[in-house]
Amino acid sequence: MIAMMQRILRLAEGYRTRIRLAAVCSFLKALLGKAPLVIAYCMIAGFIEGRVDGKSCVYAGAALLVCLALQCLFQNLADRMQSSAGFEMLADLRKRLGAHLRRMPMGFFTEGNIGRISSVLSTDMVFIEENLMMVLADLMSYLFSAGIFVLFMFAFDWRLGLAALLVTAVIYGIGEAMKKNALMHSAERQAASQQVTDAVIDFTEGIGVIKTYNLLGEKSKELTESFAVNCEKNLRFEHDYAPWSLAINASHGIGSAAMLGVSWLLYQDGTLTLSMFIGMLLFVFEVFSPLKAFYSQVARLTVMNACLDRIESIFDEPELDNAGTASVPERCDAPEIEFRDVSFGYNEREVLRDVSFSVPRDSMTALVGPSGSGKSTIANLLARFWDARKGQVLLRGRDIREVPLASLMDNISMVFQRVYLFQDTVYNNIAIGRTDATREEVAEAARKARCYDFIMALPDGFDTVIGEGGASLSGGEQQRISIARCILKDAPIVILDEATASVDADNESHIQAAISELVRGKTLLVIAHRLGTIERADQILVVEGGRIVERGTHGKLMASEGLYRSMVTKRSEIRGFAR
Amino acid sequence: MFQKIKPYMGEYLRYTKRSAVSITAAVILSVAPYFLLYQIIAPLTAGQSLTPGFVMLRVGIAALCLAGNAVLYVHGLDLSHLSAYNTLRNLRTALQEKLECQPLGAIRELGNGRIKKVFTDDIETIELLLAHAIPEGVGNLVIPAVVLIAMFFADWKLALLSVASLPLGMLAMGMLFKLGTSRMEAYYAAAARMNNTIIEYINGMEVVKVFNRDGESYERFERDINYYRDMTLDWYRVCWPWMALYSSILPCVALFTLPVGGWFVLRGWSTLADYILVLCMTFAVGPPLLKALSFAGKIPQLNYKVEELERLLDHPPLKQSERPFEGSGYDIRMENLRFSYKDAEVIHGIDLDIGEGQMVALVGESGSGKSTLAKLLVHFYDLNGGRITLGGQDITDMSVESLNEQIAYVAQEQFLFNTSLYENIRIGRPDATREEVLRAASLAQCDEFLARFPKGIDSAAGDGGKMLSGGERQRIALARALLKDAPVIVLDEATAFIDPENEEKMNAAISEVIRGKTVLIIAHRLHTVIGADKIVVLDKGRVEAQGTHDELLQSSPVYQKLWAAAQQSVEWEVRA
Repeated sequence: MIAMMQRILRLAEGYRTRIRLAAVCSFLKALLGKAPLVIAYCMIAGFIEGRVDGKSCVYAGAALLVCLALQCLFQNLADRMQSSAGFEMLADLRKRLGAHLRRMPMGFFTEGNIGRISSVLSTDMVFIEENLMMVLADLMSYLFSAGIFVLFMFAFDWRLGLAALLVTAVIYGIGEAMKKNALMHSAERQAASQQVTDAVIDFTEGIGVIKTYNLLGEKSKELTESFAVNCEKNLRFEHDYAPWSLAINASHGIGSAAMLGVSWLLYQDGTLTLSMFIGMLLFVFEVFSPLKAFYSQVARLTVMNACLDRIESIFDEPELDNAGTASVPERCDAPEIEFRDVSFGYNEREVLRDVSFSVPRDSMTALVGPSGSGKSTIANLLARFWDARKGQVLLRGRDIREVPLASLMDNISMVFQRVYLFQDTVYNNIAIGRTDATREEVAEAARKARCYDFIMALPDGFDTVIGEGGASLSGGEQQRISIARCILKDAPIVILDEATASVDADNESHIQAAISELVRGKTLLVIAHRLGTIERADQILVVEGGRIVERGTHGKLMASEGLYRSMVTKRSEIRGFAR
Repeated sequence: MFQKIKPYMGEYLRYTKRSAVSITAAVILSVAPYFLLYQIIAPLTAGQSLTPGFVMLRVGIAALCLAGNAVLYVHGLDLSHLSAYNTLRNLRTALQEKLECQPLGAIRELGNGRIKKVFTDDIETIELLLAHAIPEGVGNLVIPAVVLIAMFFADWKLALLSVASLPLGMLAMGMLFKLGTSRMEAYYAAAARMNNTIIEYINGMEVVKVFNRDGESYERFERDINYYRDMTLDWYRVCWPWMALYSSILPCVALFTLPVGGWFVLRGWSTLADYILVLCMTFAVGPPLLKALSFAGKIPQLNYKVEELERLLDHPPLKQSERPFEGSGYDIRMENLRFSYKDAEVIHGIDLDIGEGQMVALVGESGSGKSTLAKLLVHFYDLNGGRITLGGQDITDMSVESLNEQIAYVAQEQFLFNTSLYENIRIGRPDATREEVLRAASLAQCDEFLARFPKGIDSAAGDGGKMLSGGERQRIALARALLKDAPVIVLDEATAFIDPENEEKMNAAISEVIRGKTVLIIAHRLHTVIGADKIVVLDKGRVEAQGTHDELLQSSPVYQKLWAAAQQSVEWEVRA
């Protein structure tokens, strides 16, 4: 338990003092909460000794009020310090994660990883914020109280102290074992709830297939069963947890009663005075309460532990090295783009091996090859979505890792199939291409990208907000907006995924026109899927199994008996469906 | 308070009741030791001496009480969880049944994310209410109330003093709720804003980096996180003082009893023994009272939550009958179809005939209603007007199952279940042999990519088919349709997601699927359907023209435009 708390404290860098102070306040508050007991003890002892008068009643009332006021004050201070530290700390953590993400290679942002990051930011951090920070200082204060109360018992009498220590040790032992057990099951617990989520998603996403293939009976039974399994598993977890919670509560109760018995014996042999004994009686049920309260938070801390694991796993992802400070040469004799013996792989899997080629300024190079051959990876390495494992990628003779990523990006525009538009106005979505563009330039880019007409047909023209809650655009329209961005950016190098041009049949010719505008007069690297569209490339690189197996112009490649020629000849004319 | 949840609790209601009883008994046992204390303290203060037996008996009883409390409390929670989790299961199953009778369109409209949230997070929150708030709230509220009433029998004056502090605590609590709710909206708005920004920040990372705008994007990220933090703290700052007040005052039941009661004893209005008794009682009721009130605010949410869940799935179910398909032949007739999506009509009176064995293609710009028409034919939605017949039988006059038996529908985006690819194809006809499945896969041109996987056709498809590309998923879907071998085929943009490298294979697979069938096809590429028996040109939810390719080239301006654009696309080249 303590280790888990320390883990959180480590995270709370810069707020530790505040959290410790909050813990002190929380402790004082808890102590002051016992004031009625102490004052009651004084009153009763006073009555026994016959020294209570009107004044002592007034004093008692005043003391109680003061204690209450102080209690409010300390609680307020504790809340202010611990909760505000919590929210500030989590805000910092979110920002730190944001900054970390910004420095990660772009290739990291795959669909799966995006989901992972979102859930860390929106679920795990919220859990810590809402659940943990409220109790962290309280937890510390419970521990503190538990210790102080035992010492207090020693101060009364060493035998009482020893008894208290013994009970504390028992509760501690059970509590730690309970924590271990909870940690052990936390993965299973999560798996149980994940299983329902998966079943529901499978069912709703697949509902079309389920209905059209009359699988409702079967799949519906599967879903119902997953609910039943989840119910059973949860019950088993609760059932497993119950004995622990029972053991802690019972040892608290029996321990307290035992302390009562010990006090009586000590009173009997005269070690304790009558008033001391009565004081003990009033106080005895409080001795082990803090520890009990402490271990009642085990479940929360276990969930938190899992949250922290996930948060840390993202912080552990390596950042892209962006320490380069060299500048990109303006114009020079070196080729615009050059790959020198580049090898690359994801994890164990090698995707590219010893790829070398160069692209002269203002020329067009096409990458062709079967799907999965590595042609897209080549383009991704140029834009530093990832860094090469071996070899160099050079931009005008300069290794792209030697220049700041921003300068590299200034030189490259990319048109991919995946488009992301911001929930913002159409204007801003295009203007992202160049900060200092005038309104006329933005409109001109839109015109060139064949967006102008449909933009003007939107309710507020360029000022229409798109995305959730705003106007929705078709896939082809979104694609053209993204091309308008690139036209506005006017970078000298364009990387084009040619499949983009045919992503939406209805818009195909518009997108093609937009691309033609974009690539005019640029150095062009095309990831080609349809061979017919790139016949005029200055250089065609045929990629297979991560290597460049052929290179040359269309004419030259057709003249040799290679892969390219066989791909071209195999590709028959686009034909209708045979009947 | 529980009438909404009751039907879902069913037989488990009694466990909740028993749980409340058990926890109430547990609370009694936690209060009891304070009476035992009184029994020891009172005689001692009166100067009487006690026998060891008298005291030790009470120590023993206290130990038993507290141990009993632990047992009964845990037992109560065990019961309440039994009831809660089973109720959750019933609720989920009931919602599932509702979901299943909904037209597919209504489900799609809700969205997968929302549905997932209903079945997991939303239902999960009810657990806290059922398993804890109800039984613990009841137990911890009833007993302090009983004890407070019992005080009046001991000494009504002291009892009055003890109850006097309660309104103060309640007042502070009321203020907390009142002020808290007034600020809540701003807090929720800030939270929503931050979440949106976070989603956009992550999803847009690639774009902002490419355009060197990550600085600004990060600034917005930072700003909205700070804003959320500030709004939250503003909210809490208002709440904290009241929270401190109520959580301090409420358990301090002895606030007035202690000083004023002492004075009563001095004046002889109360006895010292009663004073001690009432004090012990006040100490006993404080903690459970605080616990009960922390649950109190949550119980009214229960009805609201269940109602909200029910409302979400309260759409009229799909119109269908129990009758099997009894049509003669497989000709399809659509008569004056009208259909509205949300409140806007998107199909404005369409008539269309597809003869048995004919291939009819739908063409038109996006938004013209092509896909909607296909979905209406497979009865994903109910019509707002007109009717569709298959072999002369109205599709609403047969069960959806028997309609589905006649039609193989291949949608735009194909979903694969997270089982093996083999199982995903076998869905087409569950009683197919392995040979038949393999043959279908082979005809649908799957062999080439299946060979890439170590386990071939027995490889897992991954969540939603993530292991495959869009084109590969579509070929699996085609294999499924091939295996089904239904007399009617509906193909919606079957080549939309195809990797161009594999287009030819895909066309061959489609040719295989549609051989000899009644076919309605929505064409992605005009070239693929020029051989259709009939091409129907849709324009803004109406039929603009229909006929063969050659006829339409003569007669339909919309078709001419589509054809010209298609021609241009085919000839397009990238030129730097």
